[in-house]
Amino acid sequence: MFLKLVKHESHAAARAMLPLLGGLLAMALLARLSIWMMETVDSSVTNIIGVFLIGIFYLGCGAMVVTTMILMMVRFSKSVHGDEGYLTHTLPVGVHSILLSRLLVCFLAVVISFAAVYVGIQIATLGVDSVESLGISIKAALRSAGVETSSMLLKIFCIAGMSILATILMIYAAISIGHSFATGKTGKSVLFFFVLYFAQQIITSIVMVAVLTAEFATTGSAEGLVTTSSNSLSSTMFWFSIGQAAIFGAVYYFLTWYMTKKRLNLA
Amino acid sequence: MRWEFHNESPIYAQVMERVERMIVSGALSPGERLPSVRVFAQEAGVNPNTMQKALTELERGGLIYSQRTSGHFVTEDQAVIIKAREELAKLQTERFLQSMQELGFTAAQAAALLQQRLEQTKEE
Amino acid sequence: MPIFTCENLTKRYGPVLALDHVNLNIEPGRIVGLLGPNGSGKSTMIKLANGLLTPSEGRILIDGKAPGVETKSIVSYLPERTYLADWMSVKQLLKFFQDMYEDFDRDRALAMLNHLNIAETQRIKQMSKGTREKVQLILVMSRRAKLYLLDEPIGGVDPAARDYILNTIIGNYEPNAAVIISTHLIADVEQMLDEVIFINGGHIIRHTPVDEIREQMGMSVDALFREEFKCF
Repeated sequence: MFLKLVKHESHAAARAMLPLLGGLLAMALLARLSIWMMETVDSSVTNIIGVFLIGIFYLGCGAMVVTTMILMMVRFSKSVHGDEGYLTHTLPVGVHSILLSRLLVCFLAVVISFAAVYVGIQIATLGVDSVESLGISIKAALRSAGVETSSMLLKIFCIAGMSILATILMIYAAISIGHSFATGKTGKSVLFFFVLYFAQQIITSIVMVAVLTAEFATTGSAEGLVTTSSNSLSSTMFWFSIGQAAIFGAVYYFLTWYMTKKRLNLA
Repeated sequence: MRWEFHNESPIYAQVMERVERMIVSGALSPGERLPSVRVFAQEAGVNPNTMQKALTELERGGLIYSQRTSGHFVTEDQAVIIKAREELAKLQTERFLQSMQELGFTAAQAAALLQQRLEQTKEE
Repeated sequence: MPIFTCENLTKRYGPVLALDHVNLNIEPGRIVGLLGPNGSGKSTMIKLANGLLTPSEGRILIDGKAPGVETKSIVSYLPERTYLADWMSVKQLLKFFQDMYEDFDRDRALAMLNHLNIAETQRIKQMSKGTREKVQLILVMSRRAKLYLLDEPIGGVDPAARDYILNTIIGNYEPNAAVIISTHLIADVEQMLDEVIFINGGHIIRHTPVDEIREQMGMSVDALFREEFKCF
């Protein structure tokens, strides 16, 4: 049953995502065309158009992830806390299945939109020597500093993945709390998003300071956290980031679950 | 079209009378098979339980009979149909007299009025 | 065994008492009218039965179980609102219902949709409000459920649509299932009910077979309702 929910959610997400992906691809191709045009034709008109199209493409890259996130959140609030909730919550499935299916599909949508931006940039800069050499020189610089790129990338991906999950859950929690009110559901959802966001920032800062102080007290320096040893990302920093995202994610998940299960307030 | 019902008696009694009238008037002919309870109920716009109750009552009166698997049929016994017609006529007469009474007419006065009406029809 | 039971069922919204220690049993095979003015507690009771709300006190049982995954698979619910995602086509909806409910009878739904000339390719977005409501009713009545909970199925529809809706309910509910219809339009549903429940201010005032009201009191349910509720 969980898989059927995932299938249905994917359907709903794909419907919203495909035009976005298509648009980004078109923009990337236009940007590539502009670069080629600027390289071959020397005219101020083509240059202006080219710069304009490239600019649009980079804006599109930025908007891609944000738009995906917004679309998925609209889908969540409509299907779980809006009128569609009357159907969602009378399906023979548990609240966990409902939430996890959406979390999974939303996570995948965000990952795909990041991947699409990456692929888009690759397409736009395909065969552009300056960009390719930049990439090679960054890798070389990292290697000479003793950083193993693959292991660092893996760690960054882990942290990014955890943070994406925690962020999605934070928004889910905000929407679920906001919709438990009788009026102003959307406004209160936005309000609670900021409440949760700042609460997380404050708690993280306090804990970070505490950890730094403790580290300083035991080792006499806080180097372990901020400097590189054999690796650009110290393991304390890595586990701290993963741990905080996991803990906040779990708290937000519980909040979302509780508000949806016990305090559901469909209009 | 859903059947119309009045408020004074239970729905099943009114359904019974309606089906009786259909049989007596020939709208349902002797030996004819009735629609299934569900379909008949839907046609009348009533609960299938109500339709079932009405048909069971009619069956008890002998106006219809049921076969275990193939449903309900109108009786082929003319005597029963004639008797039912007479019963309905009597009921109708009762109703007429009763409403005349409510208007303050005695039975004799009502009969006189009826006679008068009949003569009028003859003249036309 | 009753299919639907309330034991001291109580629901509070803050200080407001929506249902006050309600006790109720409904047997299978009955069509029951849940009748009361707006705000009497009808919708609250139906939402509780669907697990959309949790009781403040007491309990509600469907086929002996508290609302949950198991009961949701045997309850077919028609809410007051249209709950269909507007981007979906009829075909996608049929697939969705078939995926989600084991008791969904796709052929029956298709036959009813064909009867109304609704094409499978049509999207909810393209339909009028009346058509959406009919599609929703068709989906709900195409399940071979044990309990149908229909919340205001004929509120705000024209007389032709009303006849269609009531006929669809009579023609499609499972013979051994119970049907609970909540409404304030009593005259329209009266002739299809076995039993009525009068509810007001969170209390059940009366729970009687319809025949009894007509036989013993010589009045219609509608007339009785008007009489019992005129002082409120």
